[in-house]
Amino acid sequence: MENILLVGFPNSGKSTIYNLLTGQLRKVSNYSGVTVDSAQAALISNTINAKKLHVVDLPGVYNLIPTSIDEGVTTTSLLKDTSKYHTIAMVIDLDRFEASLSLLLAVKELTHKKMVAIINKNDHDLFTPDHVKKLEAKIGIPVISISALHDNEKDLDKFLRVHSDVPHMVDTTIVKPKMKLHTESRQYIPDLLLDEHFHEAPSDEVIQHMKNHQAEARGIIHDIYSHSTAKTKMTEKIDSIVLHKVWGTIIFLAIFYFIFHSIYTWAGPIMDWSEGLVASLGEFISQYMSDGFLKSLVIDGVIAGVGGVIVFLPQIMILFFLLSILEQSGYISRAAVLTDKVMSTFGLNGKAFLPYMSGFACSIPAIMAARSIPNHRERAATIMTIPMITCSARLPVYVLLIGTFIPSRTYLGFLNSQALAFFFLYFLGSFTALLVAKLFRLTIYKGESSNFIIDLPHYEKPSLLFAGKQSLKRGQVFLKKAGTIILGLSIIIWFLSTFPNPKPELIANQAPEQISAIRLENSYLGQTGKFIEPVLRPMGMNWKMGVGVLVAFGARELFVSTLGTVYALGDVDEESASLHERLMAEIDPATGQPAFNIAVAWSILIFFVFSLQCISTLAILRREMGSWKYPLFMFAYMGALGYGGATLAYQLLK
Amino acid sequence: MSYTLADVEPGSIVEIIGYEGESQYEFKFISLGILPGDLVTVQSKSFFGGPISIKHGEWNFFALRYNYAKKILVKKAGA
Repeated sequence: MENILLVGFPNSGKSTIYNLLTGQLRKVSNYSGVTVDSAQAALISNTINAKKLHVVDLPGVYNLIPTSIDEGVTTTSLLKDTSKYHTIAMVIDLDRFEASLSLLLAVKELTHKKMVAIINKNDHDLFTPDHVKKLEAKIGIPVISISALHDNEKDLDKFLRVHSDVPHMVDTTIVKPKMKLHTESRQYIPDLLLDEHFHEAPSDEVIQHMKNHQAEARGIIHDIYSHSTAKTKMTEKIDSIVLHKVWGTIIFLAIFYFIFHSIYTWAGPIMDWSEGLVASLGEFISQYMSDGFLKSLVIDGVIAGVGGVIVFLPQIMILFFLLSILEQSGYISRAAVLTDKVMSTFGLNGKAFLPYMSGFACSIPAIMAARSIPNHRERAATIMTIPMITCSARLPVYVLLIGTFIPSRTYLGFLNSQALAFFFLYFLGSFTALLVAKLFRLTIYKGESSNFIIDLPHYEKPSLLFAGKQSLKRGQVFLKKAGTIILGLSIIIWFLSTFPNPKPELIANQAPEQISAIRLENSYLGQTGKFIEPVLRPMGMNWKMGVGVLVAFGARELFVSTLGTVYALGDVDEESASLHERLMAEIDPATGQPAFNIAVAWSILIFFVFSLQCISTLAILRREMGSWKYPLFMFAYMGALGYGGATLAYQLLK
Repeated sequence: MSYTLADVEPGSIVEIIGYEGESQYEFKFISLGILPGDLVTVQSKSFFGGPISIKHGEWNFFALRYNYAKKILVKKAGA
């Protein structure tokens, strides 16, 4: 097995190339900081070739002098254990040709290893075969030019295989100089040894060295290549509007409102359809099964539980489709520019924008992406507040409650009340996350803010196919979760909510729906819910909702599937009633009023905005920060906010 | 008061003449190829001292935080 290291600038397309070669969808983004952990995978073509090649995707760097942990990963991978890899593939960004070529020259100077250069983003074939030949002659390294976005993997795969087979002639009599580093960068490369891997040098010397590489790169490019101005002109034109103080801000708000709006309007019909499908599947199966526990398990446990979550698939896929288009086009970087001032007001780095954005999908990749933030305290403040950003697991809860309890009205001809409620919850989570981050930066994570620079890549036409693949991939991950964890838990919940059997005298002479309710009330789950009911009362929740909240501590989306199971049990005779209708019809036996009303709905929503109900997040936090103290603290403060916020909402609205 | 990139009005072209402050600033600028003698165009500035968007050379675009742009000493191109 031979390893090929992919090294290049942030945004140079390393991850796209990695996806192309390995068939694995590593998330591709236009904004630096997505590739936070090195990823390794086998080439697709290994199945039809005797030689097994692997590619390793390293974090993007501007130079070999690290200024953050992830940049340190790249420097360390290149210099330490050089026997672990065979070839260095430098990815050159054609849009930032000069500076990324300078990085290639810096790497070439230090290593005896075989090197190849991949010129990426040649989307319009501006870099011709003639340019390739000229560049090869100048740098003495094999070159290929590709468009990772448009091309398939065939040519690149062949290029890597051909050069992997060429014997590497190393003139070891030529002594390669050790890398020169100044003292400050040593903290990011704890695994490298002084004088074995690098020498220390005054920063002036390190800087002069870098200047020499830049000058050399500039000279090479000047001799062989001049860039088309059309794309540059277009980027300039678009940016003059999109980055404009006033217009840019309006466009930014409009784009993000449009995303949330489209989740609602586009997904609605598909959701109704899939909801209907789940219901008719239940009916269909029930015809062929005799009454009893097995039927109850299949219909009320499996189909109600998993089906209740699967209907949210269209929304998750639409969200990721749109986010992928924004990422590919280059707009995300502009959004980062527009939000940087806000971020810095809350004591955060502009680099926190991407982790926060990813947090809308899931906290886990978001917490990992925060590794690109150089300052430990800023990173801690970012990580500790990310889980308050509305992740996709909260969507099902929001959609169910908003769809059921917020009447759909239109204001000013285009603002929909349900979309506004949705927008408000997203805003509330994000804004509180920033406020808490500021609080942390003023107290426990006090310290200087680190500096900020952000690339603005040329605008690219987004690939709808790729966006579709990304959204499909996200959908698959969601379904996998629904199909395995949620299926398993649905069965457990069904068991806990069905057993133990109530005493016979309790259900004697009772109507069937009463029997179901009594059965649930006396089950293990019902008993626990009732036990904690006094604590839930200030939030306006009854024990049934308490059961949902309890189960949701495993994963938020389980709240909906639990309600699905709980209410299917209470309503087993009613034909194909959706969860919406079941919730509306639920009567609180104590008051004779509907158990769910707008105050209760908001209370639950607010609880879900703040409270950390995700075991996976706690686990990843422990891994990233190296101590249980972080997850424990996070769980406690978010739980307190959730309880306080929900209580406040209920008491104000009831 | 020295004239820095942060003081430049959008639309103007200036020449970089050096850097102020600690070496870490210089590191980033140099590795991005922002060298003394280079011409840059200020594209736009954000509200309340947000990042400044810049065109550097023929086809490089990036944004610098205001405090960061203040570390780059410039003079009017051709002056």
